[in-house]
Amino acid sequence: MELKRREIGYKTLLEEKSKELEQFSYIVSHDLQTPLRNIILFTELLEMDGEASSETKAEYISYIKDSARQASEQIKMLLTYSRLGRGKEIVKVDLEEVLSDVKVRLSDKIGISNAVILSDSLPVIRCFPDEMRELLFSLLDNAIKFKKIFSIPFVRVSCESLEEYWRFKVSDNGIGIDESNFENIFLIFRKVHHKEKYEGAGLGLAMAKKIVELHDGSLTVASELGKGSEFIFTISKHL
Amino acid sequence: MTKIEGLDCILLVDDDNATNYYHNLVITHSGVDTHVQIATNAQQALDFLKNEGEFACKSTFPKPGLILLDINMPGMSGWDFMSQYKFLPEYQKGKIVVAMLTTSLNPDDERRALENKEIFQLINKPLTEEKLLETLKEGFLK
Repeated sequence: MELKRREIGYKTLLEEKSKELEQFSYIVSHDLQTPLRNIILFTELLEMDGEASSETKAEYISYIKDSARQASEQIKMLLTYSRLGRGKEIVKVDLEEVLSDVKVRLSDKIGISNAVILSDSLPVIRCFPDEMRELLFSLLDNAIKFKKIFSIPFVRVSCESLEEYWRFKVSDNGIGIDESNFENIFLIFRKVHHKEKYEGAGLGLAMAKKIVELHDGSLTVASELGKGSEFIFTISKHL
Repeated sequence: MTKIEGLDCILLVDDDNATNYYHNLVITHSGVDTHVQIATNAQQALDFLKNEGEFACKSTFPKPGLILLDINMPGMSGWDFMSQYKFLPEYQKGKIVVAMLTTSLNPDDERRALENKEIFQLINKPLTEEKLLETLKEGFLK
């Protein structure tokens, strides 16, 4: 990362970051607008539609409640996202332990889907422990969630030791991601699949990206629709 | 109720159920006599236009005169919809006026909408009776 930084120069990096920030505030304000607008609209309806039946009114109220919950959920997610790595310390962490914690957290989903998770033996590295757990959780969770219908998720975690970095890969045999979405998936609240089919708030990969960047690394994806996806991330060895 | 020539159906495309519900109320209240079809994603909207997918065995429902299309949707966005819509044969498009709905008048969206000949208008959400009637006047009565 240090080398890369010098290469592209601080100016470019700064420009990149400020563009990211601009995009971030656009998305956030846009996504928060929707529930807030709904609350206003349906409250106005309640005020003005005097002839509405009690069923209709109950319907208006349920839209108001759902929208308020949605807004509150999104604000919570933003807080979680912006607090990543703040006030935390980098320590030595055994990733084998992290992975088994993650598997325990996912045990219900693994059980239901019969998912198979295979992993290289993972090293002890210097990192933010909670963030690293969150990162592996969200990549494995996605690998299981976006499985093909009538198929068993097969997830492989691999690790390579390079000179400057650790390089990890999490690959699956799931539905895959269209190339046009390779960038969108890392944006907060962005979901590239229909929400009726796949639940989730659109936070996981945005957090994953930020976590990797906190470790001076990068997170990328390679995927083919219908074949599977592979998420590749690096973690600096100089933290 | 006012019947507008060429407007047998309005197709609402938005992933947000509350928004669809509200827009449907606006249309009903405006007194325009038309069928309202709701699609919660862009694929469903294309299926409706092409009589495919869940609409495969229906061939008699009215073709929409107006499509109110949300830009930001998970999966296929409004822009993705437009890039497929472009390839529909004329008879499946019929006399269709596409108005895109945005939350904030984002200059990028505005530019893209202006460049796309098939997008008639960009409407800032929420849809109101005035905005609806204005669009109908411009699109159907002129």
